[in-house]
Amino acid sequence: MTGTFTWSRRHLLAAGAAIASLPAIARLSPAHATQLNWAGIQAKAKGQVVHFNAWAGDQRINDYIAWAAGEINARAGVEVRHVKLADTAEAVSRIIAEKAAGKETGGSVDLIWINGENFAALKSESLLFGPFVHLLPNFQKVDPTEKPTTVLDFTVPTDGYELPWGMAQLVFFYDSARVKEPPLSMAALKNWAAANPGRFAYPAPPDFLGTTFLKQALYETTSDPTRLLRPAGDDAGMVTEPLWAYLDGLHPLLWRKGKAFPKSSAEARQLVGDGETDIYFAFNPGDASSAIAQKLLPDTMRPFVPNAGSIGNTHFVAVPFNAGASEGAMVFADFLLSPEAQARKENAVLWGDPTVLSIARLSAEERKLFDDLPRGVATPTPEELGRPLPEPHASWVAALEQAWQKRYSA
Amino acid sequence: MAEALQRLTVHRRPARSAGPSRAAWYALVAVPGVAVAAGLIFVLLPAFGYFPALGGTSLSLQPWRELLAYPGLASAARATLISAFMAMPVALALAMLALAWVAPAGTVRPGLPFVAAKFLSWLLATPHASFALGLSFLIAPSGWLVRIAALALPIDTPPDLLMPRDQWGVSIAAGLVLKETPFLFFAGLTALQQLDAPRMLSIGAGLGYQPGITWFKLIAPRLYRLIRLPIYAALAYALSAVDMALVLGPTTPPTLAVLAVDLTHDPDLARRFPAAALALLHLMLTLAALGIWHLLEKLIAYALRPMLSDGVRSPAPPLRWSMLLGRTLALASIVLGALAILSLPLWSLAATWRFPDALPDCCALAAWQRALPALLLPLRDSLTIAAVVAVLALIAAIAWLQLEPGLPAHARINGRTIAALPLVISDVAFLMGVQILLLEAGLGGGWLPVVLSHLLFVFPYVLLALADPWARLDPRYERSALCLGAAPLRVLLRVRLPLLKPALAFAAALGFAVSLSLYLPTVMMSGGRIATLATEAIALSSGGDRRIVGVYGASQALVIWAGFFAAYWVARRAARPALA
Repeated sequence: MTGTFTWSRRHLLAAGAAIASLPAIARLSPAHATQLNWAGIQAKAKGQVVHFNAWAGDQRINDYIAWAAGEINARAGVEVRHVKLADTAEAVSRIIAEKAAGKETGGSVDLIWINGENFAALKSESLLFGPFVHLLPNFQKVDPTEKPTTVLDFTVPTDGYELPWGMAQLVFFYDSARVKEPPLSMAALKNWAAANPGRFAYPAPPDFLGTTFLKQALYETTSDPTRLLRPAGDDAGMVTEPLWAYLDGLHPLLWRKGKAFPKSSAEARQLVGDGETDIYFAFNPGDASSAIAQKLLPDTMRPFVPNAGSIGNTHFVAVPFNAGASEGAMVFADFLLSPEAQARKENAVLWGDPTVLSIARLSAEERKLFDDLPRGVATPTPEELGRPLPEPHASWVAALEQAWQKRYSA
Repeated sequence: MAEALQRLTVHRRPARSAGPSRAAWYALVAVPGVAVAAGLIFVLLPAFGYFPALGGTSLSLQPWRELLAYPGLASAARATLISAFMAMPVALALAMLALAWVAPAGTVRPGLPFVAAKFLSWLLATPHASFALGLSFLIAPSGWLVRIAALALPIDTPPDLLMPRDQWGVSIAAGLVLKETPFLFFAGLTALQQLDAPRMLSIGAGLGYQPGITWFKLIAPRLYRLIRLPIYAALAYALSAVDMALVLGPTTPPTLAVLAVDLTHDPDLARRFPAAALALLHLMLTLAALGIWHLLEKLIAYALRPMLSDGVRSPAPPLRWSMLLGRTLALASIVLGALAILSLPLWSLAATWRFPDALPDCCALAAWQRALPALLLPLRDSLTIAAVVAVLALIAAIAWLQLEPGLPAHARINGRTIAALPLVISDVAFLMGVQILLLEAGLGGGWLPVVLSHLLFVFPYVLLALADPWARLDPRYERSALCLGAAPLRVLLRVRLPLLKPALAFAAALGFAVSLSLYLPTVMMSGGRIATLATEAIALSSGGDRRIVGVYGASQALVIWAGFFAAYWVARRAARPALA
């Protein structure tokens, strides 16, 4: 069974094709993207103000962005302002509205933290600047064969329009002082919730982690998981039927009996910190370790990954078509991809988000940055993580969110 | 009485060339009038399908069909109405009871009432966003109240109660009660000073009425009429409070105002049509709520009339008990509010604060050190906007009041009503209209729209705060100056304004405070480019680190308190015997 969830040959082929097509696309790209060389970009970037629109639902990430902004200001003279979003859709909506209003230059977003359905929407409407990733020196240190999701975003080829920033995999965390045996499947989770009512909560979709929880549960309940890799169609209702049956049974056993949901994964984590719940999940394997280091969680937290494996993906940064400071945005994006910034991001005490770089492509000195990182007690080992399940096709996001809202938010 | 005095002074003023000053006054009135009208027109059109930038070129009912099919619309409307109509009567009753107890004759009594008034002014000055954040921690099942209770009771896991964020909107109502009570209290306190309350109380006493009875039979009905506008503004705010609802309100679905904002954030731009319809629905709901409230006023007045004139002079035991209960409730709400406010700075200094500890593991400056670099820019922008807006509003209010006396009474009343419009109609509706107007014009948000939208909400407060002291200034000062041959402008600058320095300082501080508290106008007009302390505090509220939220909430409140403190200082320095 698990074989169907892991990366199939088809995906690797698609990834290969995406990589192979990169130079070709670069040749076909708009003149302004190709004629630039790195030195020219850096020169133009100096003095620019980059409005980095990024989800701000986690203070540790905000702190990290503040650090990176300080560094790039000192090194390259680029001023980065973090526009704090509650939901990435806000910025996507603004970009689309600017397009509708005919604002072709000087848009309000210079760089956006993005993946999945938001990327698919912007790419299909040609609202992204690029392809640009081949221009950035640090992209050479990414190996798409080793990490296929660095060029395949929810099965959609990135085609050089977004730069990978971090790897994510769904990991659950439980307080071992209260939970003796972690539930290793969705069925086990429901049984555990029946024995411990009110002690588990998941963020309400459209929060991306809430939606990911739905996808994980869908993987584990639907009869044909491979169907999820193709676009959602008329059969979506039939495919998702087992999921709704599962949730109908689970919700009365949730925190607040499923009448209220935390707004974000960080809030779900806060509930564990407050002693209101015992289990939460995050998209970054180091989440609990860094929360312990920052005294947000007790040090009795431990990780677990469902037996069936868990969904993994990559998150990216992209530059909108009308960005006022695209050069500054690229310089900052390249810094985010640098071994130094990536190692700091992977540091479990600070953020704990795994790198997108290929360790094999780093120099000995750069490799040492990653060797020395503290791991933390609540970070799963690579063996425990296993190979990630691929994200369902981006179109499932809207299908799941709308159906969820109809059922549970009325 | 005050009005009569004012009319007297108006007539004694030297005749001026009425033409240009009248035109200038009309121009001032036109600004809020045109802005509100434009906003409403540009929400009305897309609500019926006309929105050329998004391809809507013909009128249709499609947006309404989509809106009505939206899951959760009914629950959202229910939570919105319940929270507002539960909060307002309670807040009004508490404010009246607090007034009858703290300052029955218009001056605050010494002792406990004095302390209560101080706390109430502190509650009033605390911004809604910070207050909601503090309250949500206070009343959560793992919150401060339960933690304090855990000192005495064996609580090791928090109870699984649905609050805050209950789907009925009770938590929002609680927040609104605590925030609107001080607002209505101070509106009432100002109004009481116009009522000649001491004389009425002594007449009542002469007729053998107990003081409490005199207050409720003679003073309260007249007082109510004077504070109708603040009451209506509070009711409109209760229906459209986005910042409080984001923190304390239900999530699945949220309240109507939050839902409307959410819909405009949808990447599917076609959602802006039902969003406009929802904004229009919100406007109609607000107008209907004001109408219902007005009807209730009449009904209650009719029902209470026999009681007001029954001649009973001493309270019956149940009434006495209910007054005691009211006083206790008023005190309890003050204590709750104070705890909610206190929790923010406490969190900002906490190293950790685990359930069920009643107090944090104190004290660390780590959160301030972490937050400070990111805090500086929003702090600078908030202060800049608030200072510019406060000064502009003050200048506009001075111009308004200076130009007003030559006008007929009905024009003056209409003018003030138009200035107050942004406070009593749905801000969601007209801000969304302005946003659509900007989009249609190909303009993004930015500094100018933010400052102008703030001005619309700040100006009426500044005008109302200044109007009373302005009218009460002894006219002989100015007359003497005029007799000595000074030009009117010189009289304004050298006589009137210096004499009104304390009032000007408080009006400016109030404008500064209102601007710093505004959430929705900043979010909707900034185009994602400007962050203030209010928007950052709300954005970070789901970030899972209360210490950082504490830093933002506390700094927002501290800046506002600093503004009032500065005004207090100016007023004290300016206090001279000549003013007494």
